[in-house]
Amino acid sequence: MTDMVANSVWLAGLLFAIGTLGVMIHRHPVIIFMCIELMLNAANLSLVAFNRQHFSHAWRTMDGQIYAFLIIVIAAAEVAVGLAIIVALFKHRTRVDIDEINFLRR
Amino acid sequence: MFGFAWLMIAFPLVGAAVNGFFGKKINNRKFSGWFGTAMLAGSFITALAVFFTYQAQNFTGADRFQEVPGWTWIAIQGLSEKYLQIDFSLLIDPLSVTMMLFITGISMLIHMYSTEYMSHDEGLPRFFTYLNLFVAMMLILILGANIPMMFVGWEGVGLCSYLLIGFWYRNMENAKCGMKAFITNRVGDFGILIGLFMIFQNFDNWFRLQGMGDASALNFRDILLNAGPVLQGMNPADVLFIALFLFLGACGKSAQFPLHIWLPDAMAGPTPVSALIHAATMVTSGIYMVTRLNPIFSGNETAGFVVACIGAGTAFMAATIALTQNDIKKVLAYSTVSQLGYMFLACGVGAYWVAIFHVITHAFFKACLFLGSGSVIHGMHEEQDTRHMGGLARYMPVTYWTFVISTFAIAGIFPLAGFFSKDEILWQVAIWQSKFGNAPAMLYVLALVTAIMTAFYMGRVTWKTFLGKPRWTAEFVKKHHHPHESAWPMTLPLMVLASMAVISGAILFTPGWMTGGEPREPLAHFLDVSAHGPEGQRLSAGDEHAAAAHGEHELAAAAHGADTHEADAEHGGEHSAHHEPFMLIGGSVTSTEITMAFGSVLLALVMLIYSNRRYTGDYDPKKKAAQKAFGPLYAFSQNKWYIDEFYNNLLVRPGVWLSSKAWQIFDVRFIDGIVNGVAKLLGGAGELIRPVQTGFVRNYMLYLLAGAVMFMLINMWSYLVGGAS
Repeated sequence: MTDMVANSVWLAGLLFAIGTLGVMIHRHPVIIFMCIELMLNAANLSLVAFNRQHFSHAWRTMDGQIYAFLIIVIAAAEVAVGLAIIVALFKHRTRVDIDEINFLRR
Repeated sequence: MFGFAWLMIAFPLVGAAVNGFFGKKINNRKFSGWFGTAMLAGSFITALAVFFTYQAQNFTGADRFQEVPGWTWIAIQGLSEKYLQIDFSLLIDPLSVTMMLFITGISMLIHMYSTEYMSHDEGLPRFFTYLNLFVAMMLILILGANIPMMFVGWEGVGLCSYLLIGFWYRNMENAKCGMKAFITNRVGDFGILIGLFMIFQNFDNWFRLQGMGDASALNFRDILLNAGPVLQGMNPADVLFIALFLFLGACGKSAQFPLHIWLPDAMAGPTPVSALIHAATMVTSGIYMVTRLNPIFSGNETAGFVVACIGAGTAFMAATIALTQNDIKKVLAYSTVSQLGYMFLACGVGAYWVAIFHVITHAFFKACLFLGSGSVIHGMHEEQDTRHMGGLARYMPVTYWTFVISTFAIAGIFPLAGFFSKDEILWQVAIWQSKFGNAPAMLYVLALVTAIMTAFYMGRVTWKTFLGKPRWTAEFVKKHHHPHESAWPMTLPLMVLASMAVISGAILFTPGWMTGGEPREPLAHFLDVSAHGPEGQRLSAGDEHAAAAHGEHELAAAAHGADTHEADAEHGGEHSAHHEPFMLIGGSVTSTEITMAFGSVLLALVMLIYSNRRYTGDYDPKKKAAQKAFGPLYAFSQNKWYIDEFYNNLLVRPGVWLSSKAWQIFDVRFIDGIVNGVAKLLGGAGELIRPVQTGFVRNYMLYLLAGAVMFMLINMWSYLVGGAS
C-alpha cells in the first residue's frame, strides 16, 4: 500500500517534470497544451494517491479525489479557451510559433 | 414694537430667492422685474411704517436706541464668567431710520426703472436676484445692531457690487472691473477689521473692569452709550489708530482718495447698477459707518483733521478729473467721488448730520442723473460718448428736464436740494474750530473751488449731451434715424427723483437767515442722538471734563449749524473767539453766511452759463479747443492724474512679477520637482526590472521552476539543519 502510493508519487513527479520540460522546450502551442495537461494530470495523480493514503476509519473524506475532478473540469474549460485562442492566432498569422507570440509584452 | 422691521430685509431676500432659484424656470421677464420691484415696494412701505411708529413714540435718552431682538447668532463660552454672545438683531435708531427710508425708496425706483432698461437682456432674472440681494445686504449693514452684523452687510454689499459690475461677464473688461472693485474693497476691509478689533478690545476691557456684565463690546448701543468714558480712558494714539483704520475701510467702500479707483470703473455694470451703487447703497455705507461710530472720530482731533483733508482733497481731485472726461457715466462717477469727498469733509469737521443730509440729497439727484444717463444711453442705443451726442433735448424732453434739474441741484443752485446740503457743509467748514491753524480756511477754499468746478463739469456734460448740434455717428443715424424717449417705467422714476431733488433740501433743513430767526432743521433734531450720543453720555458731559470741553463745542456747533453764535452765548467764555467763521464780512455771522451762500450760488450759475455758451452752438469736439488751450494739464486730468498708472507700476506690476517668479521658481522647480521626481524614480525602477518580462511562456516557466527548486532547497536545508540539532 505504501509502495503503491510511493510509486504513484514518483510517477506523478516524473510526469510533472516531463510536462515542465515540454512546456519549456517545445514551440508549438498545441504540444505545449498537451504538456500542461500532463502537468495537471501529474497533480491529479498525486492528489488521488495521497487521498488514498490518508483515507482511514478516523478520517473518512474524499477531498483529494473531488479536487481531482475539479481540476479536470478546469483543465477542460482552459483547453476550450486556449484552443480558441490558438485558432484565432492561426487565422491571424499563418504560422503559429510560440517564439513569435510575445507581442503582449509591448 | 419694531418686530415687523424684519420684513424690510425679508422682502428683498424673498425676491432674490424667487428670482434666483425659479427665475429661469418661470421664464417671464415681466414677472421677474415687477416681482423684484414689488418686493422693494414692500420694503419701502415697511420702512415708512417703522419711521412713523418711531416718530409717534417720541423716545428720549437711551430709549432712542431700540433693539429688535432676533436670535443668538454666535455664542462663545469664555474662560471667565462672561461669555461672548452675538445676536442677530436690528437696531432702530434715528440714523438707521433715516438711512433705510431713502435706501428702500430710491432702490424701489431703480428697480422699477430696471424692468424697462434691462427688458431686452437675457440675464434679467439674474439681474434682479443680485439687485434684491444688494438691497437686502445694504439693509443688514445699516440695521445691524452690532459690529459683526454690520460687517456681514459690509461684505455682502461688496460681493453684490462685484457680481453686478461684472454682470456682463462675457466681456473680459467688465469682469476685470468687477475684480478691481472687489480687490480695492478688500484693502479697505483690512482697515475696518483692524479698527473693529481694536474697538472690541478696548471696550471689552473697560466693560470687564467696570463689571458691566450685560454690556457687549460689539453692540452699537453699548458702544455709543459708553463711548465718552471709554475714549477718555484710552491712549489718544489708540483712538487715532482706530479712527484711521476705520477710515481706511470707509475709503474703500466710499471711494476716497487712495482707494477711489474702483468707482469710476464700476461703470462697466448696467446703468441702474451704477445708480444703485452711487446713490442709495454701497458708497453711502462708509459715511454711515463713520457717522455710526462718530464718537471715535470726534474723540481725536487729528483723526477728524485727516478725514476732512482726505475728503476735501478727494473732492477736488475728482472734480478736476471730471472736467475732461467724455464718457457720460465717467463724468457722473467722478462727480460721485467728489460729492462723497464733501460728505467726508463734513464728517471730518464734526458735522455728522450734515454729512447724512448731503447723503440724502445727493442720493436723489445722483440717482436721477444716473438714471437719466441710462435713459440717454438707452435712447442712443448703447452710445456713451458725449462727443457723439448733442441735440437730444428735442427727442427726450423728460430725460432732458429731469437731468437739467438734477444738474442744477448738484451744482447747488438756490432753491434746489444741493444748495442746502452743500452750503451747509461749506458753512460747517467755515465755522470749524481746529487746532490746525488755518486749516478751515484752506479746506473751505478747496471745497469752494470744487463747487465751482462741479457746476462747470455738470453743465458741460448736460449741455454737451442735450443741446448743440447733433453729432451722432453716421452708423447710428443710418440704423435708428434719431434717439427716442424712454418708456414710462423709466421716465416715472426720473420725474419722482427730480422732484425730490428740488424739494428734499428745503424740507430737511432751512438755515436761520432764511427763516429770519431760528433755523428749521428737522433732520438735525431727528438725528441728534445717534449722531452725538444721548443726553448725559456725550463725549464731555460737564465742566469737570475740561480737557474734552472743546469737543462738546464742536458737537454743539455741528448740531445747531447756523446758530452757533447762540451756542456761544450759552457756553460763554474763552472759546467764543473760535466760533467765529474764519472770515467776517460785515461783522455779523448771519450776513457772512448769506454772503457765502449767495457767493457760491452766483459762481455756480456763472459756470453753468459759461459751460452753456461753450458747449452749445457751433461747439465741435473735433476742434479739440480745450486740449490745445491747456495742453499737459488737460492730459493730466483726462488720464485721471495717472493714479491708475501709478498703482499699476507700484503695486500691480511688482505683484505680477513676484507671483510669476514664485510660479517659475517655487512652483515649477520645487513643487513640480517633487511630484515629477517621484514619478521619475518609479519609472526608472520599472525600466530596470522590465527586461524580466520577455513575453515568452517558457521563460516564465523557468522562473517558476527556479522558484520552486529554490523553495525546495531551502526547505531541505532547514530540515537537514533542524534534524542535525
